[in-house]
Amino acid sequence: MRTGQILMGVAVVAFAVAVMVQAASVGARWTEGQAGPGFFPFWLGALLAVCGAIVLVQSLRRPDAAKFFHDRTALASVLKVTATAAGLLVLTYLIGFRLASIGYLFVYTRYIGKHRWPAVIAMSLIIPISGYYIFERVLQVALPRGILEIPYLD
Amino acid sequence: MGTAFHDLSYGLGVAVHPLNLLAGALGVIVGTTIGVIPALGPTQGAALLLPIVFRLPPATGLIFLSGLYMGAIYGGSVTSILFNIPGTPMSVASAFDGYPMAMKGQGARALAGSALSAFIAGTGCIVLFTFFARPLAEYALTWGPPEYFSVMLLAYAALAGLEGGSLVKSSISVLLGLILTAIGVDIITGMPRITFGSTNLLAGIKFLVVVVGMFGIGELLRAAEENIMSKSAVKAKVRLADIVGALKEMSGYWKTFLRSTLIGFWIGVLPGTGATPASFVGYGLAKRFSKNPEKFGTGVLEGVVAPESAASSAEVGSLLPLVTLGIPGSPTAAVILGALMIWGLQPGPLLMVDHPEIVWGFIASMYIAAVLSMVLNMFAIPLWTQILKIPFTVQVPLIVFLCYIGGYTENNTLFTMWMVLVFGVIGFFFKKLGYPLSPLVVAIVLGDDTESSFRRSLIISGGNPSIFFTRPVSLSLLLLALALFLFPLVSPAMKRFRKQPAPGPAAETGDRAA
Repeated sequence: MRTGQILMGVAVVAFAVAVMVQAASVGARWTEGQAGPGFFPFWLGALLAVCGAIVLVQSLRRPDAAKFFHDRTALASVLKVTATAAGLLVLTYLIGFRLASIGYLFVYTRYIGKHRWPAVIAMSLIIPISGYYIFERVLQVALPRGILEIPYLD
Repeated sequence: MGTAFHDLSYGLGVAVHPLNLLAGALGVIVGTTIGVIPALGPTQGAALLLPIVFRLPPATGLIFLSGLYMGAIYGGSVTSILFNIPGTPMSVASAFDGYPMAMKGQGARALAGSALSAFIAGTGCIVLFTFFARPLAEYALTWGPPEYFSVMLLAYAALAGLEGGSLVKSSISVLLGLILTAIGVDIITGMPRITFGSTNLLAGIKFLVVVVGMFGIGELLRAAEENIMSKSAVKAKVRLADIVGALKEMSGYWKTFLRSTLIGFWIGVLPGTGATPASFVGYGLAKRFSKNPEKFGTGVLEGVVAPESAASSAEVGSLLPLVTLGIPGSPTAAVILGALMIWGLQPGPLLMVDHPEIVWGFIASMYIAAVLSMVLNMFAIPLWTQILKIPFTVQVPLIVFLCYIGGYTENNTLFTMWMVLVFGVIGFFFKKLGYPLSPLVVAIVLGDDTESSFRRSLIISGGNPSIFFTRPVSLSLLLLALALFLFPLVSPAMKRFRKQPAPGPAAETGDRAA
């Protein structure tokens, strides 16, 4: 947990400095009777850097024996959810959200959830298809298409 | 007096329109479902459903949202009391005494007591709300940019000060939210800024993406980590006798009830803070003023009544600054504010003048939603507890699927879906490392207004920052903000001074992990 706190402190300070540099480049000064576009973000970034530094100093001083993940299963289950969710987006880039989500639900319920076949097939068809129906047909949201999208699906 | 009743009856006329009534009932059902599911609370639920809701007419959509809001509060308490799994953060305190009661076989009485106290407190506060709304809105019409900037600072200070936990981390959360809204095109000069060279960031980062990511995916990751399993349920079926019994017992706790209701309403009205801190404060105060505080935590009805009435009052109270000033009183109210903006309605004092049907319809629908959710929850409890039996491995892909689509509707690019995932991971780390998320959400919603009111004030004064301190209303808001911000630093010192055992909010949060 201590390492996590330190890393987060570093990340906050780094982000704050990046924001300050970016804000300064568009004009963080006072010009023509009003603040430049970078004025507000620049000073927010400065405050953020100060707060991040305080967190960093606090976490360096304070010993904290607690682990970030209490065991391997906890880490594994977080990774499973994140990796499959990222996989869905990579697949979406290739074959479009509609097919990718069927694949995602199939893989998740079958290989992570270990549900039975009939349940797996039912869920991986019903959830995406009702999703398209509601969003594409009723609400007119065009879900993302992939670069290899099969044309006859439209 | 007369106008208040006139306004409310006008609103009731809007709310009982069949379509609106249907939307309200649907909202309660969906909201209760969301409240029961541990990974989803009213903030996430409202955010997830926004893509659908903002396609409805505003009056109907708002009634749906108020049903969802009320339903989620009740739903959260059901799982909190019966399973010791708080469905929403605001129902954590209800489990302190509710779960021990359920273990003793008094689950039905605890549920009846929780629903009744939430309902009575909520109703009372809707009446309070009706009286305050018009005068406050009329008063706010006289405000200029400096007052608005100060009241927004007050919101951030209240969030950082009352949320509990580290003051520095809460401040980081507020600052990050403000910086995220600054990304993209500057609202006053039209110049692109802080885009890190990415054209995708030119459009800015919208609050829906952050909320869906941090609360939707982030909470899901936390639930996965904690490995929430379906625990064996304590059987509970509420009968009429339980309701009568709970009512009789509650009449003995009227002092606790009144105190929780008033404190809850006040905490709710304070910009930024909502039901979660209110429920802890309500519970803590009930324990402190009780004749036998040692009984708290062993399963007494008073320990359910206190947090429930405070939370419900705060939820209603948090809508008062939203409707009258355009400042959300809680994270969920912030999402509702986001919805109003998507509809092209500018929340604030003029909303009540320009669109009375929306404001009063919304307020009246809260009342109808309170009735509906009490009825639904009293008698459909066995049905709701079934939802917890949905395996987690089905909940995960379903919620991920909905979060992606929810974020995507913001500007229809695959990039926003990636941002949803990234914010989910950030949200997970924030939660783990003790950074509160609700200040960030409120800051994102108010970010643009904060900056423009700040810069417009300085344009008025010709660059002289004393404009914030020389106007009396602005100055008093700033002083209140300072007091609330420093509250966490002062309160432990005060406790030490009084040499009392501290039943403060922080102490209770710690207990829950057990």
